[in-house]
Amino acid sequence: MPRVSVIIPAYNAALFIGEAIESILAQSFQDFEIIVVDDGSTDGTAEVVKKFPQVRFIEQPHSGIAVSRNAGILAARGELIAWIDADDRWTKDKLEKQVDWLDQHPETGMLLTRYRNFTDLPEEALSKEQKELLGIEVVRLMVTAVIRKELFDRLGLFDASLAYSEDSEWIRRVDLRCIGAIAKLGEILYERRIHTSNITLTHKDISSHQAKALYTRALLNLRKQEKGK
Amino acid sequence: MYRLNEEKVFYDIAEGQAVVINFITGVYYGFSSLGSEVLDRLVKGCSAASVLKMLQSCEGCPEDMEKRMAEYIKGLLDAEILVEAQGEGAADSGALPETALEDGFDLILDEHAEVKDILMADPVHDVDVDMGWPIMKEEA
Repeated sequence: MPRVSVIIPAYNAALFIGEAIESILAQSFQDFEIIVVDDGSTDGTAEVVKKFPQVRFIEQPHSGIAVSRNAGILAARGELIAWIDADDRWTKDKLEKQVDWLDQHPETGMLLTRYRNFTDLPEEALSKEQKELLGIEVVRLMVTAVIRKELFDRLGLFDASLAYSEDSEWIRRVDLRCIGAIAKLGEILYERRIHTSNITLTHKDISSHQAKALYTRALLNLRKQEKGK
Repeated sequence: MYRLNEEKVFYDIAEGQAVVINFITGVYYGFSSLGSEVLDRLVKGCSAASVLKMLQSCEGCPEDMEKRMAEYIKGLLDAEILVEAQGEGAADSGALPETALEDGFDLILDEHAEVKDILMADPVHDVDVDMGWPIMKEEA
């Protein structure tokens, strides 16, 4: 069994997903599997991914990001789950540093890292929103995390009814039930690409009001999960 | 009729289970299946009388349902989940889904305070920049 399952949810990601996969294959830590969940892409994403025989490829009808993440978790064989968005990249030592830290800190269930934004677009082509996004670092960006799979057993999978913020809602479940389980490395180990169709351009940083609504949904999901046990 | 006390609480319901958080006190509330269903109807503007009538039309409804409803609504008002609103309230037209009686006819409101420090922290701004963990308010 691989120690880490790296999950890449992908929707019309043909342009960048090859680079994302190459950044995983180049890791200094090599005990992992890669799972791409193709969420009904129509742009040739499958053809790009199939050039990498090491990758486990799951296809599904277009169902959204939460369903894609859940399909990846359900297929994962590793004890640790790592994420990368199909348009992003890892630094070469990302997995090594996160796995090493988790091995030394059994109390940590979810280990985030810092990240940097980058773009291939020329400056004159950037919109005001894209320029703003380049300068923002979200404190808890779930896609940078390596997470012990047992946390999903305990807290449940992502809420498939949420079109976005499914990651923010799930992190709040960790807040509410596993205090002290989140840690963050101060090094930049993740590179987030700013391009023309980032989901964060259409769904900007959450407001205090939305954050409270997410806590409410998180409690609801926890109660459902705990009632089911 | 009643309305949700939106100045103080957030409300959500999914698959017949409701949760309310009071972000002023950090207390959250869970409900029995029927309690969730009744609260949802009241939040949506149904009159208490029409909800009671609907319940009394269900097979096996206890004889003291009117008293139970009155106590339940008093609990919701005392907890500041609902506030009284002007108007008659709409007629309750919907039949009770089967799942609403999973816990029987009990109208239960349960209160939880174990995560109030987290819920009272500002979930956007009270975050430790290095650790990404909500900063707890100091004890008074």
